[in-house]
Amino acid sequence: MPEALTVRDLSLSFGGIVALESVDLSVDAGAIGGLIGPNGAGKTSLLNCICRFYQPQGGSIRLGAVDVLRCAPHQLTGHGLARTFQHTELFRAMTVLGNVLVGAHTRGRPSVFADALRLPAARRASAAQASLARGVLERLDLTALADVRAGALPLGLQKRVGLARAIASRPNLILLDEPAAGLNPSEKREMAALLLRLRDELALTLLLIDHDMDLVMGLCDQVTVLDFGRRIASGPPKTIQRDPRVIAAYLGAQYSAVSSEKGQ
Amino acid sequence: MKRAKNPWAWFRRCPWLLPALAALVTLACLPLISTTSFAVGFLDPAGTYAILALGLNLLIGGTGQFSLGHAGFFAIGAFTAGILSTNYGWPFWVVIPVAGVVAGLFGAALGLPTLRLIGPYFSMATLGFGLLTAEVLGAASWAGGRTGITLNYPQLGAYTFDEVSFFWVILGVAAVTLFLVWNLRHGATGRAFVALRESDFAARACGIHLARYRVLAFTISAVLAGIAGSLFANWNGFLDASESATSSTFGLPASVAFVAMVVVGGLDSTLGSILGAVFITAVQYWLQDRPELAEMLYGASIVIVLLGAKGGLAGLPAMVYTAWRNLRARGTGEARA
Repeated sequence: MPEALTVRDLSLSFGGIVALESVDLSVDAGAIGGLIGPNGAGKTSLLNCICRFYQPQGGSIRLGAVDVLRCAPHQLTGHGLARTFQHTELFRAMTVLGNVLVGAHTRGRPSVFADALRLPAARRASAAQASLARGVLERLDLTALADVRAGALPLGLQKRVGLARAIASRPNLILLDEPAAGLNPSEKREMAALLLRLRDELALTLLLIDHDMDLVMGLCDQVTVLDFGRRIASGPPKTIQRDPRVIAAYLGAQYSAVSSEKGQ
Repeated sequence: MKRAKNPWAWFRRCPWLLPALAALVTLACLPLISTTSFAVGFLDPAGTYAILALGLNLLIGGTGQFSLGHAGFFAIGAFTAGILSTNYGWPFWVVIPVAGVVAGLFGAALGLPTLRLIGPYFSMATLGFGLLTAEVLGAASWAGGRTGITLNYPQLGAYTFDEVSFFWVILGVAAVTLFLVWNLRHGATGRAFVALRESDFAARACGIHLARYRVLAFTISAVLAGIAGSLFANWNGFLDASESATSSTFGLPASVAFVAMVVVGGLDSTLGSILGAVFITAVQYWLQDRPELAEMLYGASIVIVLLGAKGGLAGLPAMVYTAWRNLRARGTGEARA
């Protein structure tokens, strides 16, 4: 299986504070990768490095064959990268459809001149973007909410709109920062099912951060654990659950397979 | 592509065309009944500032970057026009676009280094630019000094415009500006501006080039301010740069009035920009003997809009409608919607 995302030896620090220390991570194409660890472990920092919001001091990031660190942030959608945010970061004043249209920004946008003069080319491009966005809304069951202001939606729907916006750029890989945080149990199950369905229908690769261990262990093929900016473990969920370092640093006894065996 | 044979098909395809034409014809009739003092005091400035406000609202309402220095671009446009027409005898229809380009270059030059500045820092930087421009123009001998620059009436072939008939030129430029700005705001470009305003992280993750769009919005607003300045030079006929940092034409009071137009008209509303420009100009015109009262009035209107009516003048009909509906619902004992 080729790797959709490869992070090697990545280091990031802010002033004297080390956020990431030679972190390795990879996600196979078509797989769902998980990134877990205590608060402040560097999970979101790692995502922000991949998106080029942060400039790491060392290491490499590759999206397939593309060297991410040679790209500007706005170029990454063109290489098939999209992401969602922990606090949704929706364009709140815009409608749901508007949010998804911004997601499609790099897919056949008209030039500024064509846009200003409303040339036929601009109208064709807008129509194509609109049909792409409508298709995404349909797929995520958001069509009825197309004209609702995004900021007026409850969190569960906002998370789904964030996902729709990411899908609209036709990505190969989506980075999901806590897709289930703040959702109630039934919304969490829905989100997990949705992620699986989208992965299968659109042949996506996913990398997700979440604190809900049932969700992470249930969805992910590979899990990487960070603690104080360092990778302390990586592997399939079963192995991770047994890893004593992970249990000590993060999981506690509750999710460890070891403790449940002891209990029997 | 097959052309529509029936000219009425155009009106059916573009439902806005008929009301727009009607408004344009009505406005074009105004010079026929206007006196010179009404043209100079109200018609010409309202049209001129509408052009400026259309651009400034793309920046302030669209990208959310509050500029307190657009009087600087207005002044650059005005003095470019003044110098080119008096010293070099360029015709006004060449001078106007050139003034836009010159102001646009300054806009791009200022937009690039300030694009990372947000909120108050951006406002302070543009404020500094406005003051700097006014002081430089006030000190420079080529800007007229204390005698100022006096322009000839603009000519087109054998025809010479006066203050009243020049309104037709302003109206034409304003109509084209409205068309372009409307399309930009309601197209992919305007969406990118608003996305940057709402969340620049998410906008960049969607592939929006932050620097490009911030500088673009700033440059467009500078170009339109420059064009407005050159129009001003033509109908006012006189440019006075002395003490311009505090003047209500080129100084900080002008920059504040421009922001007032955008805010009172309706942030991020294209038609609101025009309403705001007309409103502020009207206040200044009818209170021209009491300028301090005019400033108080639009100062108060900014506060009222920001506190209670975020949509500004453009949002007024919707606000009144909602209030009326709520009142009626209460009257009939229904629950509020």
